[in-house]
Amino acid sequence: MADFFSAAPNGSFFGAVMLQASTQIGGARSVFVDLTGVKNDLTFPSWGGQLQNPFPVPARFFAGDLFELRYNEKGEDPKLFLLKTYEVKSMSDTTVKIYRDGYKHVPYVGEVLMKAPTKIGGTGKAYTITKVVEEMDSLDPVWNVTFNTAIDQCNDHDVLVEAVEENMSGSMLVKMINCVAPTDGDFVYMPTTGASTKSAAAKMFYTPTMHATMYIHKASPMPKCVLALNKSRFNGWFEV
Amino acid sequence: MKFEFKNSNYSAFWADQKALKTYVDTTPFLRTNFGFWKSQFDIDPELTPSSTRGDASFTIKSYIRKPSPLMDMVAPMGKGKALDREGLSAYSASIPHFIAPNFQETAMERLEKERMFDIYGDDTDLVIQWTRTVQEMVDSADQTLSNMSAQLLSTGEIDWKYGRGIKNFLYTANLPKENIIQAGTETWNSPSCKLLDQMAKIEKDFRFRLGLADSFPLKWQIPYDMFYNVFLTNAQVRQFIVDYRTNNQMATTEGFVLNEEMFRKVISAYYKQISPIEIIEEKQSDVYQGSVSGWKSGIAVLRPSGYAGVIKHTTHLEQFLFEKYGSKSISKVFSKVNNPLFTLINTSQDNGELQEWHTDLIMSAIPALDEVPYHLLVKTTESGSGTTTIGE
Repeated sequence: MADFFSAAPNGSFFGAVMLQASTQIGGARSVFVDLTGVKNDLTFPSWGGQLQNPFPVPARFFAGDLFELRYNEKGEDPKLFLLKTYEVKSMSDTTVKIYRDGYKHVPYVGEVLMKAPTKIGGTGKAYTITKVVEEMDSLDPVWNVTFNTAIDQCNDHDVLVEAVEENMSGSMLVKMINCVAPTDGDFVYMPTTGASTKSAAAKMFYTPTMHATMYIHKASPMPKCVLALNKSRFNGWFEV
Repeated sequence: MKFEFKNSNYSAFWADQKALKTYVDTTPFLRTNFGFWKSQFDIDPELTPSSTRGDASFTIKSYIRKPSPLMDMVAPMGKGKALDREGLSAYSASIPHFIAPNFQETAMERLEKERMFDIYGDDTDLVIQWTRTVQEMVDSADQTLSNMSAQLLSTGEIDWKYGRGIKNFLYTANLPKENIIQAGTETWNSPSCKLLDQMAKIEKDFRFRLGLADSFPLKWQIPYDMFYNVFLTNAQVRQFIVDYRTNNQMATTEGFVLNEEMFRKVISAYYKQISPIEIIEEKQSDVYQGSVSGWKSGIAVLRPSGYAGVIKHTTHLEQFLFEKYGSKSISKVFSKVNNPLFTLINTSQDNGELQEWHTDLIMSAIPALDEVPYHLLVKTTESGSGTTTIGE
């Protein structure tokens, strides 16, 4: 995908150019629990917000992904954060193997991650990714991710989340869960981070929705601190 | 005859698109109160499409002219030297979306109103009350466009830092560096500033640099405060007027208060080295900051007469999605109000076992500057004859 779009915006060349690209359109998981009746799921809150942590690489978020739409104390001035989660397979010192398939968030170099704290918005060792390699770990496709310093020890199925900044005791970026993506979304453009920068790169504005019930196993991996916010009393369902 | 509410105009506004459209198109109660943008920008007759990737982007191209030199003298059969070809400057930006503070009414609120107004036998007061709310929304939208227009004209950029919703830098029109210049020998508010001479020099240099003939119509745009606090108190301007009056056997008292009329009669009529001056009056109300103004203070603009560009606008996902897959238990009536940029949405829906009504006004539009090489900003608070930056 990157091939066609990485070309300079204009130019001229008097040789022959041969181009080829191929793409796949992925499937989509039916993440929402099939409930019949008059529902009030997936309603839109005020304004939406600028996504503060877009992926700077071609990536995707999925229906059922969780967001924090953060307002000030008057319920105004919105900012939007995507809860990015990564499920660990194994860890050894500074390298962490993260499960990889078509329904996972993509880790990228420069991202600051930490082991999900016990409480949402909590703290832990947060460090920066310096290398991401796609590989197979026995039969499982994984991302082999190298950090600049070792994060807290993780075991199989532990979840990594994004942190505010690199720190011995860094805090989790997302402080609350209140919204959900009603559909998949693609990051096609290279983003600018920060609230109000004059850079020419892209800024993403999005309104996620309130209220939904999802199957936990079909949604992006959820750490315990997020599962603790589950409103559903059904095993296997997550209600936001 | 007792008035039957469900047959009233008021309730038809939520049920019948034609009734709503006819009313908002013909009512004398909906006006444009903040029309600054209309005086500076035309509405783009073309709709800018929204791409599936989420952006509604437009590109503005401007061709740069330069004065052509005098001829070279040759001996017969001598050939000339080719002119260099000029490029063009372009910028692209995307269209943002806005919503006005909206109107909501629950069933019990409506019933309460009905009872209050029942004694008059019709829905006139209800309609007028609702119309005034719509007027407030139209005012919000007009102010938003006016503010963005003033920002774009006076800085070449639009930074949205108002309202309760998202705040963000929207775009820069990428004015060439040499189009943002210093005030001249002295800052314009300096008492000894030879204001008229400095403006004349700036204009002459600008025309020469771009190869604009003297007859090419330009105009100066000066914000209201600058006109009254700087122009009308400037020593050279006052001396020019005193001299004019003295030479025409008109008395002038010392310390006379100069007004716009005297300025126009004398300076605009007899000081021909500067183009006509347009006084910019625009102010808006922000929920947080109170009275605000999009025009950057201390900036004077010299630009071609007429519109500075167009208002780019795009479709609303809200309308598209509802018309395609809207809920059967919710009815929405869409109507343009005042101009093709503002979309009024009347929604009626259930709330528990009763009904509830909403009115929203949305706009997906932004002004675009299509005279980029010919748009000159003068930072009047910074002396010197070089280029500068607008700053924060």
